[in-house]
Amino acid sequence: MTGTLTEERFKEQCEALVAFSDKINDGWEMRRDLDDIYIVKKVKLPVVFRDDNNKNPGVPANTISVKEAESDDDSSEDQITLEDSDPCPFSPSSHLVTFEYHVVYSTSYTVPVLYFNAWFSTGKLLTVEEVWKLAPPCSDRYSYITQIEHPILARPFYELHPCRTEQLMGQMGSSEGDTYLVSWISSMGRDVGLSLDVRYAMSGT
Amino acid sequence: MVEENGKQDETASETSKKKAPAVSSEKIAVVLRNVGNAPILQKQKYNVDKNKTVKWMSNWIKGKLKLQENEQVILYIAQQFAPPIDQHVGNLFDCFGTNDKLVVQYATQPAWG
Repeated sequence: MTGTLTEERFKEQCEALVAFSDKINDGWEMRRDLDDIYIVKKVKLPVVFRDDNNKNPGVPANTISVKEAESDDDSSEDQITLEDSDPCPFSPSSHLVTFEYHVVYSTSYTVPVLYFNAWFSTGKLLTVEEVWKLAPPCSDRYSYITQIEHPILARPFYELHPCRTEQLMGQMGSSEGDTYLVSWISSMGRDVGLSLDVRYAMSGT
Repeated sequence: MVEENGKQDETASETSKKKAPAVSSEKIAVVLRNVGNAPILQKQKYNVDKNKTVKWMSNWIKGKLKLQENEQVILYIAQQFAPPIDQHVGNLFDCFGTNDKLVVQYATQPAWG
């Protein structure tokens, strides 16, 4: 069962996804570069970096509920600054990280590919080690998240290697229908903080 | 909320004997279906506490399938969508449940490379 997607279907599904995103104010944007289109989403998330002793095994990278803050402020995500928390990125305290996700079609793999960058509120980009800490410890994150040149923008982004995509999406058998992109984003994004609102699955997008 | 017969199920494995009404119980009926090459579970129907998260369910299924440490279970609903891992199954049931049950598909993602 093929796990690939034609470029034409990719474009159609991007348009449908962005149209629905506009309805629910979810922030996906369409970008065009000559004949290529890709979609982009920017989001700020409080992130807890697991330390190597796995003290926070149950905390997903995209958790919205901030773990017990050191301060007694009515600390919403927005109030966390690096000055308040332990500046060491490997500590278990929360950091507000801006993520920018790009979904770009790969003509060589004939699947979408997820690129992203992430930076702290100071503007400092996350290092590759910090990015690896975002993915669940059980997955082989060192191999499949790498830093690479964005195929359209030609500047460094982190990339989720498309090798896993065909294998996983092949199991879902959604190449024929209209649901590939929704399946794909919800599957691939979960390791790096990108979640998809359940309403996309209800929209018939 | 206490269940009608006063018994609290700690595990999710006692189901087919009593079909708790979907509304009054804290648990929701879940039917697990494998996707692709994922192993088939011996038992597919369970009552799951509606406050359990997707992440909890993934780990629980992973344990039942006796997967390796570096393999993952990914859950899908509506045959297409992998819900956020901190989503509660009760919410998914409310959105996607039909005939008083939630069908959840599970895929396994083996160690990469």
